[in-house]
Amino acid sequence: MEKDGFGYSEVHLVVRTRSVFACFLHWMMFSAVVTLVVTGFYIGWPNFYFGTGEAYQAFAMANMRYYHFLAAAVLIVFVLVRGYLAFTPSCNRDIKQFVPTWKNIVGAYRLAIYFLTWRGPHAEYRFVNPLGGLGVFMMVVCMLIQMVTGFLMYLPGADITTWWWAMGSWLDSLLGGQQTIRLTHHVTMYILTFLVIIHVYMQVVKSTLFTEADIASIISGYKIFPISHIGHFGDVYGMHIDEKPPSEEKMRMESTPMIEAVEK
Amino acid sequence: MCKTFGQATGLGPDTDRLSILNSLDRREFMGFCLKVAAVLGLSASYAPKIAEAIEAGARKPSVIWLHLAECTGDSEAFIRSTYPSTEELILNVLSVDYHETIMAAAGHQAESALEQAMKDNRGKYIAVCEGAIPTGTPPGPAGKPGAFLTIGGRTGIDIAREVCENAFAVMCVGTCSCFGGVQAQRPNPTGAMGVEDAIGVPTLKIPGCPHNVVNSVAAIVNFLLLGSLPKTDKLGRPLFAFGKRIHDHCPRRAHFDAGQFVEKFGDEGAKNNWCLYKVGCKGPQTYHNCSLVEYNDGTSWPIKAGHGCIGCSEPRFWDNMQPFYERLPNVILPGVEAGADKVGFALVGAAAAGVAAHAAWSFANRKKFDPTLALKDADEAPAKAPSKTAGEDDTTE
Repeated sequence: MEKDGFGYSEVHLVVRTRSVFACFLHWMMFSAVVTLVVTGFYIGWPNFYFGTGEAYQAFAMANMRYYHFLAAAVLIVFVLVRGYLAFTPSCNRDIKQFVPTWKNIVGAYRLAIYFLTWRGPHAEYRFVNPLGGLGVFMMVVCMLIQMVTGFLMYLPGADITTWWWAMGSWLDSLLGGQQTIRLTHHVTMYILTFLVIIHVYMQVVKSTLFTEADIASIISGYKIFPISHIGHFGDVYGMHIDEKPPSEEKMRMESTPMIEAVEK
Repeated sequence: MCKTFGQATGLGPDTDRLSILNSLDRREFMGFCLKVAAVLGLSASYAPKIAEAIEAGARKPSVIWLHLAECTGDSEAFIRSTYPSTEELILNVLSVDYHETIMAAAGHQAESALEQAMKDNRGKYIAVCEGAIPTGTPPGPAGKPGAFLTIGGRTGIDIAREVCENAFAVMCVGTCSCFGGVQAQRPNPTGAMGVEDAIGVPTLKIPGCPHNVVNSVAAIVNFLLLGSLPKTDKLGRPLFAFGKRIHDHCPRRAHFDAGQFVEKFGDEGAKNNWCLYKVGCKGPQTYHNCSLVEYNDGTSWPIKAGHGCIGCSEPRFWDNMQPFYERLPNVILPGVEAGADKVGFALVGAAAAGVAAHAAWSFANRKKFDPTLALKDADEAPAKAPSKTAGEDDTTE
């Protein structure tokens, strides 16, 4: 097949999926989660790093807790900012791709069948596919659980006369006490790790077996699609693959501002 | 010889009312008042008011002490009180009208003492409950709900209901009466519950196994001083004693922050009084003031003695805090009971194995795989896509 100078057999389009700031947020959240897991393992089971000398000379656990709380603060802020950006054009208002609506669940099921069997039709998605969106949604739920349980372990140390101490105490007894909260925090970390492994693997699959360049898209914010795929996306017009694609004119009209052609 | 408080203050010959003060010297008595002020989180300037409140014999509250399903450990703790001493506490600070262990009466005489005490002070006495209430029905023809605990032919739940519903306030001492304790541990064959859960009367809870008598005396002094029960958390535990975790005020906390841990009992760390976190100390999970007031008149407490906290003042601690020498409880799923890390590693291992298998399988089938073909299918027959997918599901996986 005839190929152009970029190694493509047909004209490919660069499609903007999210702003560079959203990409930056992703990697900040990534660093925060890695820091949290590493320091969290130490806090849960202190190993390989111990204080020497007298107690006042060493701050091994205190340091680990400090970095854990710092990374937690970073994660909370950036998850909130990313949640806000999901409603803005910065991320193409992609909140619709993450919320587990019935349409997204059906789409995720079909994609899961496709990725497990490599057979049958599958929809292609410009921003976030419903399977990935569902995975990210579960990760965000896990992160919210971690934030709540983390704060509930942190708040009892606060001043007893403050309202946040009272709120922590109230939630604490509602959720079954510190020990249950601790166990939840620990187990949710493993669930989050489980989801991250699947997430990273799926990105690798989509960057190697497909030409979408998913991993590149979280660094640069752009994906690459053959021109013949444009207009068949499952998400770009808010339609599903089962529905009829829109007329070519409408498609061109709606997609022009978002798509820049690669120079031939 | 020290002067008695009565002599020192020249409060006159009303020795009946001031008998407690005559048997304590002033220094001891004011020391006790200061200690109670400290436990209650009040400043030292409250000590004279506490002294006044204890002097005021007219407000001496009647106490009915119920023994339910328990080991009498909390009575043992109660009679270990030093300031005020046991007899002052029972006869002068309080008027303990019914207490099965320490009263002289027995049998029908005891039963009538209970009735009399309830009749005399209806709506005014403080009911102190010790021990859980079994609510289950024993097997056999004689079984009726709550019959696992039967005293004088009546079930514990009946007695507790009658006594607690007519009381001014109900104070639970010890974890059993607060939250059920060891009797309520899974599988809980007798259906044991805390008093509040069993009879639905709100209670002031002083948990602990046993409870610390400083805390129960402080709660009573709060009642004498202000005429009301102390401020509590959602579970009903007074905040002055259960507002902070043991870990927050632990004398070994410096070693926790320094990263110096006892790895196993008897090692160098244990000899140096290092933190007991890694041998399963539940101090970070337990709301109690042991680390401040200690037990047996400030003699010692578990962490001071070199053993980790087991979280005895927390609800359902026999279930939640086990294993006592591990940090986290086991994860209990249908058919599985394993450590949290074991379950977690299994989960992450399953993800890694699944990913590896999928990658290998995809690589082996790479010739079959053609995304453009799949896309064309979808393009040509979009309407048939769902049924096709459903069909594929059965045949290929």
